[in-house]
Amino acid sequence: MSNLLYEIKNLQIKSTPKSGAIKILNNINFNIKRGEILGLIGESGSGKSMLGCALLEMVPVGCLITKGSIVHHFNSNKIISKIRGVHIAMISQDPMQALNPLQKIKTQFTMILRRRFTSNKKSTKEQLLRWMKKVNLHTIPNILDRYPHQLSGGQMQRVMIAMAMSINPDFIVADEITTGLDAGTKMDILNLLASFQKTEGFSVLLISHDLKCIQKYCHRIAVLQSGEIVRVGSKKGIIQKIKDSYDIVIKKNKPENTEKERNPVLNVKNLYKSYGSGRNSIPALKNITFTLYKGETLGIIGESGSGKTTLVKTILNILKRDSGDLFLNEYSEDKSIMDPNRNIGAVFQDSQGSLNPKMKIFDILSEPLTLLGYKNGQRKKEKILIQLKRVHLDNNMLELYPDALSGGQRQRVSIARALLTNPSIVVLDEPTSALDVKTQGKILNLLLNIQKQEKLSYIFISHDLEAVSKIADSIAVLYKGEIIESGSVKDVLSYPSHNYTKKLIYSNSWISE
Amino acid sequence: MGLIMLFVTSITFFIVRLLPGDPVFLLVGDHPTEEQIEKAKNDFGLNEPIYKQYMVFLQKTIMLDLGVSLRTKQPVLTELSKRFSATFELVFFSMIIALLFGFPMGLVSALNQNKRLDYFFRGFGYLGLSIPVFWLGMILQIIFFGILYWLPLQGRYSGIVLQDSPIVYNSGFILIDSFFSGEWGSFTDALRHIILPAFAMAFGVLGIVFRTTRSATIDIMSAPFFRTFKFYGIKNSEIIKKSGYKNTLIPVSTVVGLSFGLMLGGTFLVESIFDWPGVGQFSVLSILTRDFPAIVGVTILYSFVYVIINFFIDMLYIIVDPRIRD
Amino acid sequence: MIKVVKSFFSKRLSSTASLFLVGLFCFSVFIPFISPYSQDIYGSVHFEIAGQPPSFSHWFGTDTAGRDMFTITIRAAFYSLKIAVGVVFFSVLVGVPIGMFSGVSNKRTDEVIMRITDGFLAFPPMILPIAITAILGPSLNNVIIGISVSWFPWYVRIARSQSLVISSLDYVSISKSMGASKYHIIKTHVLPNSLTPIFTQASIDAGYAILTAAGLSFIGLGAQHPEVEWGLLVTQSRAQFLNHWWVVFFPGLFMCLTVVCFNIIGDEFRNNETVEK
Repeated sequence: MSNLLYEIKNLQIKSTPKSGAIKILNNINFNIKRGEILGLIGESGSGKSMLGCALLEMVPVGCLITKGSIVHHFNSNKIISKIRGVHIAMISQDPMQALNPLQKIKTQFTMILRRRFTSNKKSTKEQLLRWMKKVNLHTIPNILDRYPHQLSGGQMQRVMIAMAMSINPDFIVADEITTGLDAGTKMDILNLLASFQKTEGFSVLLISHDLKCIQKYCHRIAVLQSGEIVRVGSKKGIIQKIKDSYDIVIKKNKPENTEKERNPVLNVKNLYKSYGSGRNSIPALKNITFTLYKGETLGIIGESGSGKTTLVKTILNILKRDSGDLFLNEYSEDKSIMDPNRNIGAVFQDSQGSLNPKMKIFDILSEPLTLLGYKNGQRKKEKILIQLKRVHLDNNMLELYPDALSGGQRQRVSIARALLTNPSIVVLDEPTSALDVKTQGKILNLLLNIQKQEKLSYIFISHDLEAVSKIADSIAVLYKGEIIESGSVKDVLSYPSHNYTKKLIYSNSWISE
Repeated sequence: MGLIMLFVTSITFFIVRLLPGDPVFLLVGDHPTEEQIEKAKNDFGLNEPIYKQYMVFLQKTIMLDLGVSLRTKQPVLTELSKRFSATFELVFFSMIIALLFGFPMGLVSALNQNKRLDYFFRGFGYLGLSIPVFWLGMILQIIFFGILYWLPLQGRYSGIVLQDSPIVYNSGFILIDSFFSGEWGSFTDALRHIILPAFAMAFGVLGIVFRTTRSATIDIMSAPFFRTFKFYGIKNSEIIKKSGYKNTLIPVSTVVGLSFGLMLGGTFLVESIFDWPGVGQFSVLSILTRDFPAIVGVTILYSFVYVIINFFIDMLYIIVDPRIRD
Repeated sequence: MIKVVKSFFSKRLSSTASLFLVGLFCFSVFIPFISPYSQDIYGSVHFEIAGQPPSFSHWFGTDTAGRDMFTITIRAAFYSLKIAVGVVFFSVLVGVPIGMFSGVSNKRTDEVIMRITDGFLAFPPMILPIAITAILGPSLNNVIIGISVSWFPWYVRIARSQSLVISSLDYVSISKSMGASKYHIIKTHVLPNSLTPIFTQASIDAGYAILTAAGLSFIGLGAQHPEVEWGLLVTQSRAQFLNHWWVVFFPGLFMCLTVVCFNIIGDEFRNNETVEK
């Protein structure tokens, strides 16, 4: 029996659009050994998922294997597509969508077991119960009779792990299985998978963009960049090389603000916001209070579900708050603002549709000027060109549509758009979360430079502790609608007091060897 | 729900009074005298101020007194219930045909996208959506009666057959009644009569059902959970058969409900051609002859049925989609 | 917008369909000048050649009054297409702005508008057109009005749901934060991104408008002579249809083909809709 499960040689996969094929993967050469956890790391768009699909022979429609080969050494003569669900399994990201929301868990689980084993009803039921116990879900009443939406993300992912295990596979592809889960759950899921791997001995291809979780669980690592494997090797060597290359990109720490005077530009006091009314009201924000100082960045750390989207919309006044005050110090008198104010600009995450896909970049950038009342086309163009230069974009981009730009370029456009109203404050909601690490660094650098030049104040909201720590002067931690901890970056990160903050820091940090 | 019905019937009440032409002449015939006109108007309360008429109308309607048809002189309620069963039987039968063929066609088409079978079915579906129903009805009559003489031209049943095997009216649905009373003669006769009109109506709905099923199935095939099952090696057709079909039920039932409504509204064309004694014919004649009570009665009936159908569809949603229950 | 039109004409089926419709329309406009039987359109009768099956001199045969079926069938296209375009035009013109406004307004305004719309939609499909044409009197223009009044609520609904979806997108949030008015948001963001589903519905409705108008003619409430559309044509010759299949067959056939073309075009827009997603 060969030591190798998979031998991939010179693999090339191209997509087949009519106007010329794009190489998605090229020159892929590596092996997967029996019983090992191989980590596959790469930025979003590098082709990781495609590689995972290729190993299962499920290359999506519109893509083809154009060169090379994938040879498997499973205990079978059959081709890969026949041994799916028998020797191979896959766990994907977004567990809430992984099963049919209209059917019970047990029905769907049974379908998978039936394909693998031919057994009668009774033994299938026993098997199901056994697996629920193995993934620690047996404490949930009637777990098998439940529907997907009745479980949390973490619980559903355990179900998916149970499913993958239940067919007794030799190989599992785990594609970004912790995306969207909060810090503590991430660790639980990966620990579960790793412990199973130790006892059962199957191989795993652990695909992720999160270097820290790869580091913790994998035996070997492969690095994918723009469709090509640039490094394969043992954990230690790879990790250090990557760390080095990433750290060059961004300045280590933001120099502390040494100025004596700290002028507040924004005072938020006792902000409350709930959705719904009466008995059904769901509180989203509770007693939010903070102060933003001129030329400084307040980093707000919040994961999904913490209320950060509500917070952003409330600060921008596009969502009416229930109570509380927003004092803008641009005005001589302390007036609590209730409507959108041109002194507060916004930059959102790229992947959520920040730019109108049907508008040219020029039109997108004209919009703020039009809204301010500028009518003269020439003056508008001048202002646009100034900002374009500031975000390091070419003039010829004005005639393009958003889909022709890369993620990094689109975010630069978003920043330029925000700057066109000449704000004193910019709210940034996950501005770099959809970008790869290198581009993240460049964008953060750009933001820092602009801040220094214009003395802008930022509110930088993200779940990415690393990014926030690089750009913020002070930090506030948002958890379930409340600020549970705040202070200077150094204080909060070095001496966290709240449990949640501690968990957050732990899951985000490098484990020193 | 009730609010909608009130809205619809009230609007109808007032619109109907805008129709040109005086309904009085229905009552009194062609050359009435002054006295006869006055008497008729008084009898039917047409001399009262309009708000008074409206009040009386609301009171009576709540007690299910829909008045008497100015044209047929029969109580509106009786007329409607007689004819409703005829129309409903026809529409129901059509719906079954449409579903029986349209739904599987849609599934098969989606599973075999862009193959010849798919194109063939799609063409068929297009045709169904585009064919004017009365034209189809007439063409069918020409072919199956005029040329082939296989099926009867019109009507719901033939008088001659009825003499030999009388129908025991229980539900007013001839097919059901004759089936359960074992009167095979009248059963087959009724069946022969219903086939052509039902098919003419079904063809259009079949197109809609087919298209909706097909596109719903295609959407499901690109859903994440579908991929999950494929990862585990289960074939497309099996995934649909064992799991995916449920997801099609929601859009399909919406369309079925809408089609029911559409069909009920369009039956008069088919009923005219096939001389089917249903509500459609009755309602059109009522409008043309300004038969107020009948028009209003028909509107109440239609909106009531519409509301009931929507209710059933909502119930179906709740059964099929567990997320709504929580 | 240009993108949509471009990808549209690159598909063979939909360009054929569009060509057919345009060609049919032009043909119907010019036929009074081309056909030797043009007087038949305006009602001249020739009982001596009544009821003849299709032949070389009369391609579609003659009807019960001796009129050339081919000529009057093609001419009827003019009126049926006029109805199709008229209904869609008015329904969109009235329904879309209301719907878009509803979608960007606050919850209460939105609810009120939608309740009224639902009220309209609660009427069984043919009732309102029948009622309106009965009140206003049967004519081509009244048919257009009647059907439009009955159908525009659908556009309110479509426009509203598009409006809701787009208003929740980030780029609209940003516009709002810059102080954009409802009108600005509709004009700049909602409208350009909603065109496709509206066009989809409009194409399909164009076909249905023709069928509905034909249904109205069937009961005498439709267009009247000399604006003879296909439905009226079929109704006129109804009595003899069992023995003269051609008087019913050809108008219906053209109706069918036209509606098929509209459906094909509508489907093409729908495909673009899914691609955009």
